Amino acid sequence: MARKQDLLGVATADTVIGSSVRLKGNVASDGDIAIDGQLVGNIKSGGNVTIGMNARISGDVTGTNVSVTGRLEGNIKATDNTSLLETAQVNGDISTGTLEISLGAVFIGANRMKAAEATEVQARTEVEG
Amino acid sequence: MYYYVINPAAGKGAINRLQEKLRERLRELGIDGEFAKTTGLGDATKMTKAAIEKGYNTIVVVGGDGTVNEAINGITKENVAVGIIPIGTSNLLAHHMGINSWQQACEVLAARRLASYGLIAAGQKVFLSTLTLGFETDIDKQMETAPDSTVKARVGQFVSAFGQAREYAPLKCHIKVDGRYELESPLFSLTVSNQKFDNPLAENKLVVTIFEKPGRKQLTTYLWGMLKKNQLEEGTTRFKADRVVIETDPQTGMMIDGKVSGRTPIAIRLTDRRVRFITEKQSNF
Repeated sequence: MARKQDLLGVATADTVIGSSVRLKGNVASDGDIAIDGQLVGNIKSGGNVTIGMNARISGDVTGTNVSVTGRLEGNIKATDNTSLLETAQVNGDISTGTLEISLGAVFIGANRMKAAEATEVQARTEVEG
Repeated sequence: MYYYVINPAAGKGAINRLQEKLRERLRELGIDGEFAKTTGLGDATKMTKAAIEKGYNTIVVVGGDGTVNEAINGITKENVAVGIIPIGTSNLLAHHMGINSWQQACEVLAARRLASYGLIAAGQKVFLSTLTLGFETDIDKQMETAPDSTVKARVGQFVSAFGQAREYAPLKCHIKVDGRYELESPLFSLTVSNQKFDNPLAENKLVVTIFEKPGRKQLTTYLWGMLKKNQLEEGTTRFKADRVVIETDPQTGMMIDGKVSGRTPIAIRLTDRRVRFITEKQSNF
C-alpha cells in the first residue's frame, strides 16, 4: 500500500496529513495534498489530492487530479482526473474531466464530466472491451 | 567596526585554546575589533544590543548555535551584519552558511559576502532556522549538558536514546494553523522550520513536521539521523503555514536553533524582520 501511495505522490506532496491526525477546518495549498487522517472541512488544492485508505473526510474536495482510497462524504471537483480505487467509498457528486472507478469502489452520487473527456472515456472503454 | 561576542563556555571552552591564534589571524586580515565575553544566559542578546547602540555595525558571534540565537535576538537595526566563528558544540547555522572552521570563518569575515535571512517569531523571541519539541528536544537537552562527541560517547547516547524512545509516551498536541484549521495529533517529535532558510528560492513559509512514534525498525534510522544532526525530513504529517499556535498535553520544553528555550504553548509566525549574515555563500536575494 505504501508503494501505491508513493506512486500517487504522497512522498512529494506539499501537505501530508497522517492517519492519527484529526483536522477541523479548511485545508488549502497551491501544491499537492495527501491526507490519511480525519477531516471535517474542505480540501482545496492547486495540484493533486490523494485521499488515503485510512482517511475519513467530511467535506468537499477540489484539485487537478483527485485519487481516493478512503472514505469521503462530500463532493469532488477535479479539473483533470478522478480515480476511485478499490477501497474508496464516496458519497457525493463528482465533477471531473475523466473518471476511473476500480472494482470494489463504492460511489453513491451523480457524476458530471466535460464533453470532450467523456468522449475520450467512451473511446477507451471500447478499446478495452 | 567589529564587535566579537565570545561565549567562553562554547565547545567545552574551545576559545581558551585558540584565542591568541584567532586574534592574531583577525589582526592579519585587518578585521580586529572589540572582544567581549558572555558570562551567562541571555548575555549575548544584551551585549549585541549595547554594541549596536555604541555604533558597531558588525557583530561576530564566537560560539555555537545557541549564542548565535541569543545575538540575533539583540539585533535592533537592519544595517548590522552578523558573522559567525563556529566553536560551539552545535554549529548547524554556520555550517548551513558554508562555514566549517574558525580559520575559514576568519577568511569569510574578511571577504564579507552578505546574505539576508528572514526571522521567525516564537513568542517574544526570534529564530532563524528550526524549533523542535518532543522526544528529540529531550535528547538534545541531555546532550547539551554532556556534549561528548567521541565515537564511544555517540554509541552510548544511541543506546540510551533507543531505550528512552521505546518508553516515551507521545504527547497530545493541538495546533491552530493560520486561523483556517485546527488539528489534533499524537506527537513523538515536532519541528517548525524556516523554509526560506533551507532554500532561499522557496516561498517564505513555516514548514511544520510531526513525527509519530516510529516502530522498532524505523527508530534506529530516526535516532541515528537525529544524533548525527541530520535534517529529519520524513515526518508522518507535514504542512506549510504563516502562523501556528501549538499546545501540548503535557506542556513540554522547546529547542530553538539548538538552544533550550521556553515551553509550550507557543505561537510561531513569519515576520518581516531580516538579518544580514556574513556567509561563504553568495546571497540569493
